[in-house]
Amino acid sequence: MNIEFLETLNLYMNLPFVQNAIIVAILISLCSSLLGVTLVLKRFSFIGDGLSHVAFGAMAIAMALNFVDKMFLLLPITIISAILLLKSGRKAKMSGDAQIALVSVGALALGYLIINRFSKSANISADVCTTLFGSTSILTLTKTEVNVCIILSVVVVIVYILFYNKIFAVTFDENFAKGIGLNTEFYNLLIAIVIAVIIVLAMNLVGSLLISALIIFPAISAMQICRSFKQVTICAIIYSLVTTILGLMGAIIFDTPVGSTIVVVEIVIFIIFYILGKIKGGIVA
Amino acid sequence: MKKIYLMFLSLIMVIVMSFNACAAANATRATKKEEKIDYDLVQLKGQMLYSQVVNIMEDPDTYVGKRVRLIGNMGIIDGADNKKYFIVNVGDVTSCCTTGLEFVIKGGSDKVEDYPEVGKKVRVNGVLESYKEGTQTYLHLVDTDVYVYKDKKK
Amino acid sequence: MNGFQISCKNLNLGYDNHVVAKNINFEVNAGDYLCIVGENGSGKSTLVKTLLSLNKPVSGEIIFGDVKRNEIGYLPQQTIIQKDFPASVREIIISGCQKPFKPFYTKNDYKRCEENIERLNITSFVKKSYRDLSGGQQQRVLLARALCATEKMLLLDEPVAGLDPIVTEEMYNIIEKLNREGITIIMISHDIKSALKYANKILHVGPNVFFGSKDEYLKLGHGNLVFSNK
Repeated sequence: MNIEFLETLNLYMNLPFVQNAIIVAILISLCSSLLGVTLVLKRFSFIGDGLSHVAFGAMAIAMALNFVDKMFLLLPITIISAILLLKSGRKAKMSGDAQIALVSVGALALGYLIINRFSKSANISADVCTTLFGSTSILTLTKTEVNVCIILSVVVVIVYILFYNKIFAVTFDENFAKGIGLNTEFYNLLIAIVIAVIIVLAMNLVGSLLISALIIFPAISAMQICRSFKQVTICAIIYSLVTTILGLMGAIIFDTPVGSTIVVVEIVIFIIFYILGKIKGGIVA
Repeated sequence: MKKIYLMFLSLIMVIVMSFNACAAANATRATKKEEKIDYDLVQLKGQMLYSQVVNIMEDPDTYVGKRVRLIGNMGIIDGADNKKYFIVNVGDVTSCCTTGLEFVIKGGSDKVEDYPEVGKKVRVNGVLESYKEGTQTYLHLVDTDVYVYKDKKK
Repeated sequence: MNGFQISCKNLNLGYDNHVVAKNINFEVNAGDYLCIVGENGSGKSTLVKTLLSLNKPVSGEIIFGDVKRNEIGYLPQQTIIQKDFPASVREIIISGCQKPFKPFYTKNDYKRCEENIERLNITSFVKKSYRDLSGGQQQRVLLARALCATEKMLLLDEPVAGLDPIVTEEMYNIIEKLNREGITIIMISHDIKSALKYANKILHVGPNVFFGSKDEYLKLGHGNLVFSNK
């Protein structure tokens, strides 16, 4: 039985689109876990969720217009929405999260309407299904999409390393950071733009409804057991890589939807971390 | 804390090793038939098969001229001027993601009687070719051997 | 030694043109210990935010002398999120050494971080995670962070709020020690008694504004300022 399993694995590993999927998945999970830590600590998780629905709406427009490489439409729309959401979230007379909920749900509804009416695609429900839940999009990436993913991920990682200390300062205490002369407006904007980029990339992996999981789970899992910001960051990365690869391979081998499989693996491993955290803290779960 | 690091490192190593463990063996399996199959997809099922077929369609240059074998379900599409297109459909379990690859049976017939019944499980083995119809370019298999599976008795 | 650092003239503070405090005039020199007191909601925090350029004054001016805008070490009131933040003590303290266009910390920064840890007696709990510290310990860590930012002036927003009496006393002693070492202290406080004990200048914000030395404040009888004109 073991040999059969290895043979099947070997078969899949040799398929170029599987190799691409693994590379892209690793890069996406790396980036989303990095920014997830900041997002969760700044209590901005709802921005990730709202943006992912906006991205779905943008994807719908891209499908209706029959774009081949949809990312070139998705990226600008999502980035602009991120900037607007962040700015208006602070100034709005309504509380920030009501506004985001509006945009979020509106984009989702509008998106589905557009796909329904205007898509010339052969199989609309497949498109919707795969965009929302990421069933096969990671396995059907075009060469351009793969290259764009790689370049953007590398840029995100470099930006994160360069601005790591600033991101920490702005996340922990924005008022103090402003007081010592840091341009917190700029850094918040930077974080918003990077989140937007990551969301567009991550839509390929887990679909827009499940992106929040990819961003949030690594951070909250790491925070169960880690004691410094650096530890939390590294732990989140490891958690994200492991759950993504396990989830992706599991989905490939057992023919389950990629997005949901990854999230289920994340839930299981989060529970393990949670229990470990409680034991460590001296309180048995 | 260190223990957890080590656990994860070893988990990652196991996973990475499983990538490299196997030699770059081709997925080709020779059958008893004379023609050499370049891309044998009969091992693939569900979303893997669907994805592979979509990838072929997205990147025709790599696959045109090569012999491809796959298993799917028979389908017919009615085109303009009563023209019929014969398709082998592939999809995942939920049929959420499905697509079809057009094929022309050996001998080049375009009559419905020469093709299997719609809905039957078929295994097709043909050479990928691109052709133009109007302004659009399409892909189909030519010189195709077709094997029809018998229905499983309940 | 008595270099002029900050001076405020006819300052009207507020948000979006809505005035919260009027007619603020005061001057701070090097080595001063200024306590800003007043009722809740009288505009103390707004004043602090305005001094730090986090907020624009509605009218009036702030003149900076020996101290530049971003040479003020700030100890803000903590948010709930911060109390539970997963970070090591060192990570937080060294974040005070942040400067624009400087991505990484220098050896000097690490050295100053260690010096301030010793200076404020943080060594005993330096290895702990910030979220596991007591309120007083957290305040000391934040104070060390402020010291890493500057050695000229500290701006403390209710530094002993919520601390028990012994810890409060410790905190005041540390702040006094720093003042004696030459660091200017501007502190917002509810605690008039302690303010009168340690400060040399008082700024009373409210419907009646008072600025002057501690003695003048006592002569005026601070009760009069607080309870009259209600």
